[in-house]
Amino acid sequence: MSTASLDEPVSRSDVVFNGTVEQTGATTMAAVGASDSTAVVRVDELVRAPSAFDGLVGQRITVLLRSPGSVQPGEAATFFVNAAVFGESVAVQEVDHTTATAAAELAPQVTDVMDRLRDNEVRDRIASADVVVTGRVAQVRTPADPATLAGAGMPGPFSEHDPRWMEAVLDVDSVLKGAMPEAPTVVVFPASIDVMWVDAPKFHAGQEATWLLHTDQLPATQVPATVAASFPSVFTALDPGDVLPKEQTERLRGLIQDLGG
Amino acid sequence: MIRVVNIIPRAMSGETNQDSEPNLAVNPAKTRQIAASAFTRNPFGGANAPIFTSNDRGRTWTAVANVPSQNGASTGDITLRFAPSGGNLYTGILRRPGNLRLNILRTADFQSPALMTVLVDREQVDQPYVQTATRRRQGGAGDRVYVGNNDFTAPAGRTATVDFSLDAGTPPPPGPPSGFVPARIEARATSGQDGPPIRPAVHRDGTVYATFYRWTSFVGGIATADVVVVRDDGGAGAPFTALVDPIDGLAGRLVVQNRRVPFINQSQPTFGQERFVGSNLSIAVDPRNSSTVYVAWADRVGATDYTLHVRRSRDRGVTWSPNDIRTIANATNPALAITDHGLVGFLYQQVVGLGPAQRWVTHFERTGDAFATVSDRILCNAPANAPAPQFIPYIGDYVHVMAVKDTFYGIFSANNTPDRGNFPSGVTYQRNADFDTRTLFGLDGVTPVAVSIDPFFFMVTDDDDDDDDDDDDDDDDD
Repeated sequence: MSTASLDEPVSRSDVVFNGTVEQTGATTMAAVGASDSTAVVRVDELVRAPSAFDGLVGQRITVLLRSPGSVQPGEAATFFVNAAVFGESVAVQEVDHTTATAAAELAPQVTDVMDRLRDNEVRDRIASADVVVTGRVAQVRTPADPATLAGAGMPGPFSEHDPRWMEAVLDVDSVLKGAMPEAPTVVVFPASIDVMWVDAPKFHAGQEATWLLHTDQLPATQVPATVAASFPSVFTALDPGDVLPKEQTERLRGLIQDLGG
Repeated sequence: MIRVVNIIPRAMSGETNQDSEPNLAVNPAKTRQIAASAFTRNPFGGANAPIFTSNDRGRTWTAVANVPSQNGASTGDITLRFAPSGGNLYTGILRRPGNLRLNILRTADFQSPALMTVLVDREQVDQPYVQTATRRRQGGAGDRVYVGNNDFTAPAGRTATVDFSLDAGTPPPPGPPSGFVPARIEARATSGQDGPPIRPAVHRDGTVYATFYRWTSFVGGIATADVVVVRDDGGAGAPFTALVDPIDGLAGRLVVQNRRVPFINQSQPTFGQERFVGSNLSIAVDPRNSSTVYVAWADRVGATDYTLHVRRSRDRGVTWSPNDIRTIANATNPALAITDHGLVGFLYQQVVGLGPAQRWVTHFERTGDAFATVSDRILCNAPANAPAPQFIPYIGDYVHVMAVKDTFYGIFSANNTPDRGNFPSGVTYQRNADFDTRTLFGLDGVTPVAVSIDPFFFMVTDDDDDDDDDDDDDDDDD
């Protein structure tokens, strides 16, 4: 199977496995009704799956077929699937299936596709970033206290999902995209580990990285007033993909060149 | 009879996520059908977050990935409720990605992996809390859905809001807001906003109550707040204005005033790793008589405590018990419900012990005499010092309990160590666990899995026999 033909099913699925169809029109779970769009499949090999599901190998699971009657008992296939139902067994939603390819052969191809997809994601993030810089966090500091905090009102909105904005002041080594930001280069980030912000990157003094900086990730109402007033651009890097190891600088430079940057 | 069940399915035995802030919905017409939620991620890392479902009255559970979210993330706040008849499940979430992005969702088949339908989609809204009723008594056929929320786009900082639809079950015009209307229920000036929790309670006769914290100042991590109750009688005129305070003549009865509510949005080492964010309100109306209503809230009485209070009104919220009828120190997550027989259930989680010996003790109290006497059952008594928080809230900013006929159904989150000593009322696990070695195991039944926070369902009834004798009673609201 060519990696190009893998692009579509891999990009749309979270798990890839090799399995043998044991029954059609059947399921392994009471919660999922049998129909001509269900099949019981024994998991022979995992090609791509979270480690928590290593134990699926050898187990019978339910596949919710994309097309009714599209597999036959005894057929061995590579399934590209997403999560559907988890109970005493697992039911997965098929995105696609192909003739079975041994995991030892297929896994590197899937990895290649994943790498390519990740590169595409990075390209997209670069394209949407205003500035891409390498550098080091010189200082992390709290924004100047909004005067309203202790006074008549509060800066709003103020909820349990308050991001607890902090400022990271960057010493910029090089600019990979865009113009050198006016000094000081300040990146606003959420220090909160609230469930809504826990996945957003946090910064610490001395941290070296490549930052994909954005000026449009926050609505104006979310930008601390003192920050907006103090800096010409309020930069953020709220997605984990916005902060990359410094070792990837040359790779990024190549991706930026691909984009004509 | 008490049933306590860890609802993580066996197929998710390898998970170590912090499944906190749970919520629960029992289908009143078919009580074997139960849905639950928590901060749970798609088990495969995909974009659709799961809810938990049971089709056997909570004995066994599945997770169904049918809530829109983003890759690898749980939703933000999530609550859910069945319509009293017809089987629609309504869900209020903070959707990711988004900026406090409220989604109100509906599915006609809660066990289907098909994504729920988006009814409402807007930003700058916090903590949606869903309640439902039917219009049958009023002659309509649709579902009445009320979603309490803190809407930061409300004018003049009067943010307490209830989005409602009197016919949410009817296929709406395509696209949000699908007939939902936001009712602004704060009639007074605030310090800039109300507190996060806005909690509705619906009676089958058409009465709807809601309660919220009216913030009057916020200094040094302490919100000064009034606990306000509003009421809607379903008639003409502005919604939620039926109850007027005798002091200022404005809509909304001030149950208590000038309470100190700590708002410290960080894990607290002296409070079982949980935070203080003033999100602890509950309200319940007596199914036998909508004039009787109970409210529970949390505030700070002394220097460092977090104290729960319960009060009652028997005249539709006009007057309230002058003092607490129940007070619990160093506790959070109050939740109230009342059975058709008038029994009041009170769920809460209390921190006991100090330092590394702290434990979260989850109580479920029942009373038939307004807490003059109390039957207290401990559902869980688990370590509060482990595991380390993955995020906050640690066990959740809320839990839920509800009653159908004479049975209470509830949910809470706690440390999931399989230790029978932690569950004095008994417990069953779906996920692979060995109670002799107090060890969790992965899907292969062999690989040890680290302790984490899991949601636990419970059911409490006076019946020894918990057969589903009310199943197929699809006309419960008549």
